[in-house]
Amino acid sequence: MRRAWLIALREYRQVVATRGFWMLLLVVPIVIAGSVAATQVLESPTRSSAFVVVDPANIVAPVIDRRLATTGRAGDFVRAPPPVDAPLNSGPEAFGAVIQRHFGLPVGPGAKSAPLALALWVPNDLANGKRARIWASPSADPGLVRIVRAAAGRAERLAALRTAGLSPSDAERIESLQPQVTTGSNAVAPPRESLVLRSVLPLALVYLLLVAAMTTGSMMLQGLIEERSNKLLEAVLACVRPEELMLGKLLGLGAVGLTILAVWVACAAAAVQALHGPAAEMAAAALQPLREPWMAPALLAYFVSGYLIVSTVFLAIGSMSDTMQDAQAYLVPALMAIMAPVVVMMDAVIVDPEAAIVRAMTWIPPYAPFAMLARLGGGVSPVEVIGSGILMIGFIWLELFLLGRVFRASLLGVGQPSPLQAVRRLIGGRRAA
Amino acid sequence: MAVLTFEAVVKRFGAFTAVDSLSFEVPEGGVFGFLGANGAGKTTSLRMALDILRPTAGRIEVLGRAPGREQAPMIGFLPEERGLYRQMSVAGVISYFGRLKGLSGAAASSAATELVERLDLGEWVRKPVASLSKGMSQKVQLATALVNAPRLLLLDEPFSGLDPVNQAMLEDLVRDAAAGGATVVFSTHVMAHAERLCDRLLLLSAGKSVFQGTVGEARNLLPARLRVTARGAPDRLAGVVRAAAVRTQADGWTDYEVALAPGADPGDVLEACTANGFPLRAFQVERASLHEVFLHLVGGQSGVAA
Repeated sequence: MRRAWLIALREYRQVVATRGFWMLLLVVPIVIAGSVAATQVLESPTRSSAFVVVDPANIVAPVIDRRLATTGRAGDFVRAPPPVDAPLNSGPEAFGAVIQRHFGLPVGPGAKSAPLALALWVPNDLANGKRARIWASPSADPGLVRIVRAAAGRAERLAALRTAGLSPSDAERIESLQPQVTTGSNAVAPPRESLVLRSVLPLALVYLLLVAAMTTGSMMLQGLIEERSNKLLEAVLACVRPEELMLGKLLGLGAVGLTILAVWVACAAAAVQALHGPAAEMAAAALQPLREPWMAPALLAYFVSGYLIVSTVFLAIGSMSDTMQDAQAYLVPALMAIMAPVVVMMDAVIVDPEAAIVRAMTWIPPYAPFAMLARLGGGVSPVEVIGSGILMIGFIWLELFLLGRVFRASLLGVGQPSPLQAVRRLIGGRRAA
Repeated sequence: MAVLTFEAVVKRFGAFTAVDSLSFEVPEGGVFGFLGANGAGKTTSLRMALDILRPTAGRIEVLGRAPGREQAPMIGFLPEERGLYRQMSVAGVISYFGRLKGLSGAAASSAATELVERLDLGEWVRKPVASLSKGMSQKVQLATALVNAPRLLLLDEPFSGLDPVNQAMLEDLVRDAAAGGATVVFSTHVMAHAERLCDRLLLLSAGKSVFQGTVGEARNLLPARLRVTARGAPDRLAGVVRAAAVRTQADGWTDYEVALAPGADPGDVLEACTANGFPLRAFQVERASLHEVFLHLVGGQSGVAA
C-alpha cells in the first residue's frame, strides 16, 4: 500500500504541475465570479441616479425614504431638491414640462449630484380627488419607480378612505390589510418549482462529475501512455505490482478530482455568500438539500463512485494503448457509452425526476451514480438507495478486478504487441506475434 | 549461496518458445554475463527473475525466494528499453525510485544526491529529465537502478546506446558495484564487454543454454592457435594437427601457423620442443576469443558483436 501511495503522490504532483489542471481548476471559479458580477450589475443601477419629490405636506417623501432604506437601496439614489427653474406653484403640468427637460442632467448638491431620473408631484390636498403625478425617464431604475409608485399610491388610497368618512386609524388599518402568507411545502406533492430548485445542486454535481472525470481521466490516460511509450513501465514494474500501480494511479487521480471538486464547491459557496436579492434566495433554495445531514455524505459518495467508474474505463484504455492514436479507437465508443445515456437522463430528470428512464438508470450500475446524484434533490426511496448502492459497489469491485487483470495482461506484455495491435493484425489476416 | 537460480525454466508466448528448459545458478558476488544474440531469451529471462513475466514452467529463485516485489529493496534493475518521467527533476526521479524500493524519504534523497555527484550530474540535479542529453539520461537511469545499493544488480543490455566514454564509465560502475559486494548480472550481445567484465557467463541460443562457466573455460572450448618461428616444420610434435608455413626469412627461419588438437595445451608443445631440441626463435599462443567461441557454439546464428 505504501508504494501505491507513492505512485498516487507522484501522479497527483505531475497533474497539478500541468497548465491544463490549473485551467480546468480556474475555469469554474472564473465563470462563477463572472456570473456573480453579472448578477450584481444587472440588479444594481448602472450608476447612481437622482429623483425629485415635490411634497409640500411631507406625506409621501418619508415613506419613500423608508422603503429605500429597508430594501438596501438608499445608497443607489439621491433625493435632490427641485431644480431652481422648476415652477412649484403653477400646477403639475407646468412642473412636469420643465422637469422632463432635466432628465439625464445632474441635479443635487455638489458631490452628491446625479443624473435626474424621476420626479414625483404630490398635491397639497390629496383628499379632494387630486392625484399625484410621476415622471420617469426611460433609464429610470425599475426598482425606484416601483417604490415611488407604491408610496404615492398608498398616500392616495389613505386620502380616499378618509374622504369616504373613515377615521385616519381605520383608513390606516384598511390600507395595511394583506393576506396572510404561510411558507411551507406539501410533503406528498411538492411544487415543481421547489423540486427543480432542490435539484440544482445535485444536477450541477452531475455536470461537475462528468467534466472532472473526463478531464482527469484523459490526463491519466496520457500519463499511462507516456509511461508505455517512454519505456518506463518495465523499470516501474520491477519495483511495484501492476495492481499497486493501478491503485496508485486511481488514488492520485481521485485526489485530483476531489481537489477540483473542493475548489469548485468552495468557490460556489463564496459566490452564494456574495449574492443578494432574488439570486441569493434562489441559491439558498438550491442549497436547501444540504441541510439534511445525510445529503452531503451521499453526494460525496455518489460523486466518488461515479469518478471511480469513469476513471477505471480511462485507465483500462490507457493500459491497452501504446499511443494516443491507439487510445482514440477505444475512447470514442467508451465516451459515447458513458455520456449519451447520462445526457438523456439529465434532460429527463429536469422534466420529471421520477421518469421511467431515470428510475431505470438508477439500477444500471455504471449510470447509477449519475442517476442517483440527479435524483437526490427530489427525494429517493431508501430501497433504491440501498439496492442501487449494493449493485454499484459490486460493479466497482468487479470493474477494479477486471481492470487489475487487464492491467496485468497488458502491462506485463511489455515488448509484445498491444491488445489493439493484436486485434488489428487479426483483422488484417496476419497472426499476432 | 546462489543469488539467482533457474531450474528447467520454460517461457512460451503462444507457439513461440522464448526460453527452453533453462537451468543455471548465479553465485553471490562477482559479475555474471548473460550472453546471446538478439532474441536468444536474455531479456525474457531477466523479466522472469523480476516477476514482470511469469514462467510457463520451471522454478526460479531470487535471493532465496520466489521472484516478487518483496525483493525489490535488494535488487537494482536497468531495463534494455529505457525511459524516465520527463517532467521530474534528476534528483526527484532517482529519489522516487529509491522510495519505490523501500528507502525512506531522507535516505532516498541522500542516496540520490550521492549518486548524482558520483555520475557527474551535479549541475543538473534540479533540472527536469527532459532537458538532459541521451547520455546523461542513461546515467540517471543507471542511478535509479543503483539508488538502493542493491545486493543483486540486473542490467539488461546496459551498454547499448552509450558512446565509448560512457561505456567505459559504466564498466567502471559495474566493477565498483561488484567490488562493493553486489552480484552483477548483465545481458549483452557484445562479447568484448563480457570478456572484460565477467567472472562467469552463460551463453544462450534460441532460449537454451549452450555454455556455462568462466571466461577462460569458454575460450578453452576452441583449440588455441600457435605462431611459431622455427628452422623446420613443427608438424610432428605431439598435439600438433597442422603447421602451415607463412613466411620464410632470409636467414632460414620460417614463420608457421600451427593448429593444435582440441584439448592440447600449448605449454605441452613448448615443453616438447625443449625436450626434443627443436630450435625456436618465437613461440606465440593465440587463444580463441569469446566471439569465436560464441560463433562456434551457436553455429550459423549471428547477431553478436565482437
